[in-house]
Amino acid sequence: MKKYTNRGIDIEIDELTNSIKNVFSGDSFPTDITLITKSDINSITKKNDWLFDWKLELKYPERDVFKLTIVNNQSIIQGLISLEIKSDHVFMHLIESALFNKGKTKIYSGVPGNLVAFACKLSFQRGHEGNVAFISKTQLISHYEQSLGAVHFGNRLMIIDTNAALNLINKYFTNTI
Amino acid sequence: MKTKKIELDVDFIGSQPSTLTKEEEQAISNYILTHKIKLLRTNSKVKVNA
Repeated sequence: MKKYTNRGIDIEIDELTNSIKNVFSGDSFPTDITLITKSDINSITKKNDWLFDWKLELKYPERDVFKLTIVNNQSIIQGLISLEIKSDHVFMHLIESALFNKGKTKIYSGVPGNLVAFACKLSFQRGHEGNVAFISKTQLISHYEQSLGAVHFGNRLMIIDTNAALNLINKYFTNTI
Repeated sequence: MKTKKIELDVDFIGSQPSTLTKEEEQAISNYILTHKIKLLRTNSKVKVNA
């Protein structure tokens, strides 16, 4: 029997910046979020230091995997997100930053926040009023409440509702909504 | 007004498999519906009072 004790998105939203920011230089870079391509699939493997099995996500036809890249630099993936459009919300299955954006030695900050904001935007576009749900690890619930404005409503279920979604979108997609 | 920035040591780890139980799906839908009804009631109260 499969154990689900490790369920829950375990990311820490480090900074809600307007784009992703080079931690060393302080320079900000505008980002693109697009569906992953066939050529990406071979590079997003555990062998290439991705924690999740992203190929597995692609086996679920109802899920879409998007990549975050810096504008004009689509070949270097900064982070990935797996989303599913449900009947009344968008469900965020997974988010992962690239290895070089993890931990204290990360190069760019703002990757996960940027991806979450994208999920909110997609939710509006699909008529779901910005609602984005996800499962959080228990110890990160209050962190998501503070950093994303997410609401915890039982077990580890959390939701980013319309107002919180708008706040996030305004941070990241100022010129596009 | 300055917004408080949360600075953290970042380590991005998720989990697989990521699946929702029927109960969890229902809980999400119930929350969204309840929230919508609350908003509608609040808005209609505001209109009546206006």
